[in-house]
Amino acid sequence: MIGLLIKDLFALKKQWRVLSVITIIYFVFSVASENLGMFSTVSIMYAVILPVTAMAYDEQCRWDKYALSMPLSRSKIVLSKYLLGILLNLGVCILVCLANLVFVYFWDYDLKDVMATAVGISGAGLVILAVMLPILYQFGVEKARLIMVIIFLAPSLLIIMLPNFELTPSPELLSMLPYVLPLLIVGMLLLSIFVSIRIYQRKEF
Amino acid sequence: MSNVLEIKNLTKYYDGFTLDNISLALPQGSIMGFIGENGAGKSTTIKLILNVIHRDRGEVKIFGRDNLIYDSELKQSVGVVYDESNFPESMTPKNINVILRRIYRNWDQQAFFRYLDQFALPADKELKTFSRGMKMKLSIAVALSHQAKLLILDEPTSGLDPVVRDEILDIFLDFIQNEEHSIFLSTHITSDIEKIADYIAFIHQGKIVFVAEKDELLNQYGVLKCGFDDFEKLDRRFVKGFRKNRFGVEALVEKQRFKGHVIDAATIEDIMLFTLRGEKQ
Repeated sequence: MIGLLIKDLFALKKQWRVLSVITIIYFVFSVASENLGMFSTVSIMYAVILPVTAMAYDEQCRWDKYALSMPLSRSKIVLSKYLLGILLNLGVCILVCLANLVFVYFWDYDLKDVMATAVGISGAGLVILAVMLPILYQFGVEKARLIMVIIFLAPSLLIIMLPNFELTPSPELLSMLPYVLPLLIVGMLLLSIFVSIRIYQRKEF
Repeated sequence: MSNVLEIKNLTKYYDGFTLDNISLALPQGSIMGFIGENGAGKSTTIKLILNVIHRDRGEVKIFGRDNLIYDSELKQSVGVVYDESNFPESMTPKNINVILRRIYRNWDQQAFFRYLDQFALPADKELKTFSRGMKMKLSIAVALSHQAKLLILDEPTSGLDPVVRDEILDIFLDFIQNEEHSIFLSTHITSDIEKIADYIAFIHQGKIVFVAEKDELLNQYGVLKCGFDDFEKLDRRFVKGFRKNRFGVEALVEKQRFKGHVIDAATIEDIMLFTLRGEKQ
């Protein structure tokens, strides 16, 4: 499985360079405008876009057909993509933390808030991953892209419209969230892995 | 002699195509050429052997063990080459070494770099700079570098020039020098088969037409050329197929039955074409 993970990292070689440049640009931009929001949002995109790109490369060179001729089980092939996604999200979490430390240092930001932001962002990344991968396995990258736009548009609209409904969550609910959300995300990931493996077992290449 | 590959009643249904009850066996130490036209079912059979697609019926044994139960275990000792390179284009052979070292238990790094050297493949260049022939050689280098005992090759020489093809065939002949090694090779280039195969399995429209020893096949059949009148007198039981042209008739016949006639040696291509396209009876 580590071999598969390394393979994806190699395959994404070109993306790393492009992303490092973008990261630096956004960081400078954020520092200049004294607002890290933009930087954080962009960094989560990496964690979402890179696994999709890795799968697009796989499709392009029909990697799966080849991988299945090697001593690799179908579930290992699926798990390696989740591992890639989880590690990328971890990377993003660390990156956002580091970037925020600059703000803590210069502008007196609260460290606790900063950590919460970074963890929150990775959490969101993991949720997206959990929803995204089964769709990618079922429909292939080309179709899945379109489906994902639709799927993610709906909750985004809902969130934008939320203030209009005057639904303010109770303080008790909010205080429980830090404990409930991680469990929820882990649950989602496990379910997602299970579904993806089921889909992949049936697939033919 | 034991069989390294045994296929029994292998069946797979598609819309408009059925791989129909394929059975064959590849004895250890030999090369079997799997021939047939495009779309005859060669790739489907190979994908079923490798569990890349799911069968509807039948059984496959590799080294005498069921390929579904011992899937990953068996694949440690099987080298596979498809008709294209399946590595992402941004990789280099060096990258591939790093990856496969962690996938194959018996990955032999030295052997891999030795093959790269032998095939004149640059270890540091990205695959997108490689020609088709170079990519095929790379796939072959990979297949040979983890102590595989069985090579399964799906049209490894298609789209390559005669020189590269010949080089690749030599590599296969070299591999087979070890008595424990065997090769199952699908192709529609019958001259390749003629050069290296010990056995020939012929598939047509999803069905096996014959599985036979190559030398026996070539000894048994010949191409008889004669005039129309003479042709009428031939015992048709021993004529496998014939073609009429302006000057007379060419027929694929069982050589032994027509002593006294002028009979040319038949090629595998003759046998394939007469069987499929020649007129019968």
